[in-house]
Amino acid sequence: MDTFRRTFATTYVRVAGVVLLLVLIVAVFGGALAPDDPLGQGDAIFAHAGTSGHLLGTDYVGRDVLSRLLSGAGASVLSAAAMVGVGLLLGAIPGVLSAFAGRWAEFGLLRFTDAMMALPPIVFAIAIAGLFTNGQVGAIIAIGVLLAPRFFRIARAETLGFAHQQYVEAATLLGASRTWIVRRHIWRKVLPTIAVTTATSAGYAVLAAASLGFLGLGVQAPDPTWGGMLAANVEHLAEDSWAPIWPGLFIALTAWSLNALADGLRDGLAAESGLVRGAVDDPDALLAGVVPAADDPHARDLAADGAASGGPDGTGDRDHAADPAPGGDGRVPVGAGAHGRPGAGREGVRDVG
Amino acid sequence: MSADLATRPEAAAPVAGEPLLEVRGLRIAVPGADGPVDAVHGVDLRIGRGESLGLVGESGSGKTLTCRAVLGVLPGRCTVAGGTIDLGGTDLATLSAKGWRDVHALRIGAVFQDPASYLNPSQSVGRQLAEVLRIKTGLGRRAAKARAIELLTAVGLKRPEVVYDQIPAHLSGGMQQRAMLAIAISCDPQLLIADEPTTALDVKTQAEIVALLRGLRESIGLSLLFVSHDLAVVTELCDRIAVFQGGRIVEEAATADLLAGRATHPYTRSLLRAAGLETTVREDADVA
Amino acid sequence: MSTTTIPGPGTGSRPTGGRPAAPRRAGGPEGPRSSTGLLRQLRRRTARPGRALLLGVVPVALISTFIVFLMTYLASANPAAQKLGENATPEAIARLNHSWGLDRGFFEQYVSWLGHAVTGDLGTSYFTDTSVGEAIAQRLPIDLALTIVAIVTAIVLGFAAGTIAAVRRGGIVDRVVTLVASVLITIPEFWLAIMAVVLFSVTLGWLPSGGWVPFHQDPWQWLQHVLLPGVSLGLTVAAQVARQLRGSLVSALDEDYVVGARVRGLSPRRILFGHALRNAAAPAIATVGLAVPTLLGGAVIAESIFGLPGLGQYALNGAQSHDVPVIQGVLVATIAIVLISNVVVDALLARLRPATRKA
Repeated sequence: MDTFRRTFATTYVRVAGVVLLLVLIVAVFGGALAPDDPLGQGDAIFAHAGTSGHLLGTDYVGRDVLSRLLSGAGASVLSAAAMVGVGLLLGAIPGVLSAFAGRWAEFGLLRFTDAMMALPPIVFAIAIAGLFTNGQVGAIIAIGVLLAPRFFRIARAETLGFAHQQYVEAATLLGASRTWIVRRHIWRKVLPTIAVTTATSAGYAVLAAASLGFLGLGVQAPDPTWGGMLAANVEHLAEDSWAPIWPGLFIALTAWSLNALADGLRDGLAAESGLVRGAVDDPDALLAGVVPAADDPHARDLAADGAASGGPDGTGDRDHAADPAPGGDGRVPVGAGAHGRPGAGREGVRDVG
Repeated sequence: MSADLATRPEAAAPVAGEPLLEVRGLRIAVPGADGPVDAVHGVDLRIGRGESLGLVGESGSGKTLTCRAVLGVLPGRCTVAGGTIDLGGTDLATLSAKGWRDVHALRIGAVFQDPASYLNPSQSVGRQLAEVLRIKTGLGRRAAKARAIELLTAVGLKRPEVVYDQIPAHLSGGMQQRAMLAIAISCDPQLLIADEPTTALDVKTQAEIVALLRGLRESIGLSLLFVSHDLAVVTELCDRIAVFQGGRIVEEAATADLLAGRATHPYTRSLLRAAGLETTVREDADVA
Repeated sequence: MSTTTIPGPGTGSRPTGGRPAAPRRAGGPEGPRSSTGLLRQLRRRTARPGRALLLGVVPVALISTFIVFLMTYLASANPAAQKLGENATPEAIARLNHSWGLDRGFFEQYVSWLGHAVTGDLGTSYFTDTSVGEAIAQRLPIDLALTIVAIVTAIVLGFAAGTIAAVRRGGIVDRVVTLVASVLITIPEFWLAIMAVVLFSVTLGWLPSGGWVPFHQDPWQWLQHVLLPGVSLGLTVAAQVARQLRGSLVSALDEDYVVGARVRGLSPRRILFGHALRNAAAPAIATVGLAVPTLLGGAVIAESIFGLPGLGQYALNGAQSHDVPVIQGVLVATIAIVLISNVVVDALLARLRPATRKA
């Protein structure tokens, strides 16, 4: 619960939490909350917000905009959640396990994730959604699959970091099996970081789902989605120029709340790693030799994640000698907080060895 | 110790002639929990032309802050709270940023403890040296490079052409410090400020750098403000020594006097003892 | 008295005892970040451009195109029958399948497809019987133009805003940049494009709301048409770049080498542009590189807002009609763009940091 408390330490994150909660409630009960029939056409077309009993006005066939936004939330938000679920499943578990894989498997897996990252998500989703019979499932799988590399890299990097720590090595020496180690120790350590990635990825997925809705992939008209509503608005810009404001606002608020939550989580975990983990890490570091040498992917993963969320360091793997601390906006990813702390030990190790 | 010291008689604190640098009543404030707090409480220093002064004391005693103030690069929100720093008629304590540009490199050069971190890590040392030469002395591209190679040779770097193209990380600590020195003396300053320049080096390299500094003093008549917590190194290099403790100078004396056991302050004597330099303890000094 | 070590990568290890507060640099190119083993070797090798291509780009290209082929192979459902209609005889279907090469084994098909793709031959559309390669070559310039304008926008605006924010840390500009950037990051870029149309075409009438004029016909018209979609597409990335650059530049300006440069008497301007910014630019440039796949997707959406005859419309039509060569071709083309941009970004980053060039 401490993590929870630290995550919601600032008003900013608390507001984001409330917004996200509202969005989730709307996503689940959207249809029931709608004041009007989202498909029911009326006489008043392009009614302005607040007129003729429509809080946010009506669209080109006189449907109530608010009702369509509320009942469209489910398709928009839940498909984003499903995308993240697919990514999490396909990325995080292999990521943790890959830390124990042999070198060539490791090489292959990393090239594979590089290859996935070279695929432009929207174009890929268009292809999959078209080829598969069920467009919506296809689009969800496509985006989810392309989210997987992030989870893979983060999970792998975190596991690599922890797997070489002393207590895990001690457990290995004592004859503990890999599955036991993974279950007992590593999941608990890796999950917080994955939670951060989940939140940033969810923010991305909301935008991706809206993009696909805009292109008409997935849910078919007349059923509303936020992206689909925007597409309809574009066709009637001349008649009702400001209609795109409302769907855009809903999309942006959802994406913002998720990003803000991710920031809060990151800060909370960083604070925690400073207070709690620090005590565990430092002796390790001083003992030299076994300090996690988080290799190339580690930095890069955090980078990939960070860059996607507009946050920290984008070039971990480029290992820029002059690179200032990772953390583009002063936020240090948890991984770095846990075992990349300046002066914590790797330097000491070098000095000794 | 050396012939250099032996030639100097017991000419103690008062410096003959006009001083090059004169610091008076320097106070430096550092940010504290309840507003600024003084960390250096009124320091007076004098360095004559061609003279070398050593500042010793434990870390946090204010010696590094003092020399940072003389360099005009106090860290963070530290400020000069009072006093004057007179360099040949210019008060450095109140100098504008523009004014500093005629002082840095041209009148004061500096080397630091961790040479690599004071150099741009992604540019070759030669390029950084030539940059200073071109901007500060107006040399052309080619002339600057030729002069840079000369300077790299002058600081004892073998194969200066190769060193020229190396980034700092590809040089050893000793070579980095030499390159740093080449930059510091590139525009013929009168004063060199060396802030713990040998601390990060191994013993052999340390001795080489000290010898190099002494050679430079003799060859180009450089005045030296040398900061170190290592008294042994300071006594080898400096004419006079100022001992810092708690942001104050507790004792200032000629090196020869200190070595001859004429230290008056107990802290100085404990430092000498710790460095194994207090050969003759004079009991009467204790009483006095 | 002599320093006998010959400078070179091997002598990069520094003596101990630097201040612990400045650890990051101490490692040099083979510093503590790198682990032992394959990856470390790989990274050392990839310092050379040729090897970087061989070990980085080529496997990635092979794997990603294989993913594309496998996926389309699995999903394609008897296109011949689809094309010939309900009354087609099994013989006719078999004949068509044979002419498309679909009666061969999976790997035979894959190798043949890949071989053709490498030479630029992306096959023929199943349903329109036109060359996929030619169609893509006609449409690609539109998406490329949008992406390039977006990248230029991201770099120009992002670097300007990030630099000013970092230099005037805590000032008004800094706060505005931080706020605007954090808002921009959560807004879908195609929504920005829509609002840009509302503002600049519908309301103000300054720029066309859609359509396309090829560059070689009229560069000025071309610019007018590409400006709205391109710039609005680039704003989100500009925000990311600004945030990234602000952060890394703030830390760079706190570095000791900035003090070192001041002590050498360099002007603030020179320290900023000649030293700090160069060193801080790498993460921001990498951010731009990582954004290229997203930008391509954004360009596809921008096409449909601005009614541009680009790759996205082609892909959407191809996907809807299950035209496998079209889908494959579009994916291969976009992958190629992403990989080329990766190579360019890597080369840029290597230039910024001589260590990788000389290692």
